[in-house]
Amino acid sequence: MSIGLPAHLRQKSVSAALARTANTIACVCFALALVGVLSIYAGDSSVALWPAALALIPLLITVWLVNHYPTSFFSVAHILIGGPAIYWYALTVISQLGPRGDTGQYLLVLPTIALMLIGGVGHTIVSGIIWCTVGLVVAEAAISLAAWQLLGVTLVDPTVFASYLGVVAVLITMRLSQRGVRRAQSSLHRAARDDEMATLRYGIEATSAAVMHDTVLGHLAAIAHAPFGAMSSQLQTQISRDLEVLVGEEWLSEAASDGNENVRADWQSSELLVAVTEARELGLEVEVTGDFSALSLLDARGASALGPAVKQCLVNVIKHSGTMQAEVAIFASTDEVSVLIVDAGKGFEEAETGEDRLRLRQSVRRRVELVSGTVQVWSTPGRGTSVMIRVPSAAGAGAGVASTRVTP
Amino acid sequence: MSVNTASTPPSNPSSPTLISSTRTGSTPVAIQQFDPLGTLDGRPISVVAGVGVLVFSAVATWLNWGTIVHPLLASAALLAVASTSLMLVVGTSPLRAPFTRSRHAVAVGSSLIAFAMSSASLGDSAALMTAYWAPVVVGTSCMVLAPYRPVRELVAVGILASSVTGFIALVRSTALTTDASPVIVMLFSITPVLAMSLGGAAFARSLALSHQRWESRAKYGALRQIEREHLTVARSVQQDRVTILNRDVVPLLTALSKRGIVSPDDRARAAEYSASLRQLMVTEVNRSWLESVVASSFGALDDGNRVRDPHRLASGMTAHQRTALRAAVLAVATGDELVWDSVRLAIEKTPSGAVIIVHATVASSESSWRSSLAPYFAVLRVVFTGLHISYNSPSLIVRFTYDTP
Repeated sequence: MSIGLPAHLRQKSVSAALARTANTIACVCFALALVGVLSIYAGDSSVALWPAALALIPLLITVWLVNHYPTSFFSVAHILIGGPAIYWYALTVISQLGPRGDTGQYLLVLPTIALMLIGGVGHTIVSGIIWCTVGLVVAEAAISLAAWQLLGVTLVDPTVFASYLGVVAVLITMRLSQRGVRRAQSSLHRAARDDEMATLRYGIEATSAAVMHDTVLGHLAAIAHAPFGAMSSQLQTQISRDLEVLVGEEWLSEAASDGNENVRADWQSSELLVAVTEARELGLEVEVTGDFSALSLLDARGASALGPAVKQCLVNVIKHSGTMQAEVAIFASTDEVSVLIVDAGKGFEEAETGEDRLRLRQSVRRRVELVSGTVQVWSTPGRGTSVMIRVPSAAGAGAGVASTRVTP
Repeated sequence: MSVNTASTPPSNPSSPTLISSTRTGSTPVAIQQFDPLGTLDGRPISVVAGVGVLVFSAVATWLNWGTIVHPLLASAALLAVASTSLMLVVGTSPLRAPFTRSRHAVAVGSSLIAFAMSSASLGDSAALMTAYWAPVVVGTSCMVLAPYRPVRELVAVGILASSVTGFIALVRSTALTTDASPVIVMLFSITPVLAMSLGGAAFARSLALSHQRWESRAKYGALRQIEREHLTVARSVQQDRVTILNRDVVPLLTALSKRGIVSPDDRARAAEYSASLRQLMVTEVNRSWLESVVASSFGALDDGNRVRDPHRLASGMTAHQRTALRAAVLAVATGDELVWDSVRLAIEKTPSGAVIIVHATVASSESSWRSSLAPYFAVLRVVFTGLHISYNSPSLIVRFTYDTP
């Protein structure tokens, strides 16, 4: 997943965020004006400011509507309702507070700035400034009309115009600054996509490497060590099968795994038992114990990974342990299926298996980890080896995928 | 036998992402964290605001000099504003990302101190007994820093700053000689702080929600894309394998399968091919995603020794870290700011994870490479930790760290 919004979405998102900002500030201004007039009225009930408080109610409602439905309709409605409401509010404040003082000036500035901030809904610089200007003109006109009516003079507050210039400056800067790093953003999105594709390719290559190890490498080694003359029919059959597998595409596609879905229904045809059978054909005495039906808990991917991994462990017993006896124990919880392969052979140190460590790494560990499983090896020279393979069950696989981490 | 090792093996394909967010938009991370380039784009606002609040404070103090009875306090207030200004301009620099909580506290705290001192410097003739300009500075600081801190923190700081501002105003109102009530004096002071801080929080929340919506859509799209590409990539991988095998292995196996007799020559060839294949697979297994990215980015210019990762630590990076580093490597390989041959990456083990050290020789002016690479540094700073740039012309060393599992 890439980092950050794509450039084409950012401008729209920033416009929406600016609108939210403007509406929130407007809302706070209206609310504080309401608190202000109510506090004065509460302190001195002879000052009849409650009509001013009432005038602010529709403004709070319309700014809420504009915030939730940022359309031209509600913006126009806000201004159309805002003009008369501010006029009524100013009429009340000026008439009740007498000659303008600090309090009156403060209370009149708040709704003016709030109505001006309707400019935040504009999607472009020009429309934002136009909305802003309309809001300012309507609010100032309403207050000036009320002042002229009561005092015979119009009132102009420099604070409001300073705020107007500030808002316009912010609108221009915010919108103009949305174009500086598009190239870097495109690079990030491309890199994110490349990473996803690399991850996909890596997974397929790991499967491919495991298959190649289990088939070609094994049989090339068998040929290299075979006696001169006629090849065993078993090896000949396996080579023929290798060729079919390698030329075919099934081993690479998910479909191949899905085709084995019947392992759920019939554990007896599972790849694990096929692996045990093949090991027995090679002369290994394998005792299988535990809960065979646990295999039905695996999904197709888990079953496809488990069978060849166990087979490789059994092949390792034949090749390296010095014993021809092994035990395979199957057990399960709701989240995972575990298979323990135990031999009483000569054991080994995994870290000391050198650079050529493909068997355990590629064919067992990597394969199992690709399906979010884990492999643990306990081996003591002279005392044998135990390999525990844990594969998430179909129920636990979903959660397991999120934490897949492969150790090369 | 040919060796095809062009693939990229990122070792944690579904590693947990750095960024998470809640449904409510009260994200535990700042916009800077999930959209560092967007924040970089909006930085001019911070710079203009930083300079603006200092100029505004100075002008307002000068205009109201007649009402000031404690010039020392007024001057100290301007120094506090300078501290806020410095934090807005310098602290938000992409070279110092991410913007920390302590910087946030210093920026807003300094402006509150400025309000307290400037108000205390005023005499009885001052309107409402408070420096009217200082709450605007507090509010501006809160608002401008919205992209840099989480929404919850912005709201908490906004409310706290409003409370402190209101308290100072309330205390000052006891000496008031005009008819304004203490409540009005308090409201007058907290208005810019509360309005602008909540406005900033609303801005951050809205952008966080936009990002959240886009991310969920993009994830779904990416999943579909991966599904569509699966077969194509699988065929490509198979073709690579078949190409390797067709040359030697398949003819040998086919001949043996038909003949059924093993000759000494067959045994020797089988041993040779087995060793060769095994070596190829070991090489592939040992090749990290970073080596592949560097090789493909630098193309023919890659000498195969640019990346030194003896502990195989590249595999411990998260998806976001891989993405950021991949984009940066490509930018360096396609740009002309650095001497291509000189670029070397080393990943070394640290007690808590790993450190990446990039050595390069700069081929352009300092302003040129800094501006060209600034977006990538901004992203690397956010997804990695402790990014440090050391430049001693023409040598450039960049270090950054990350935790490994």
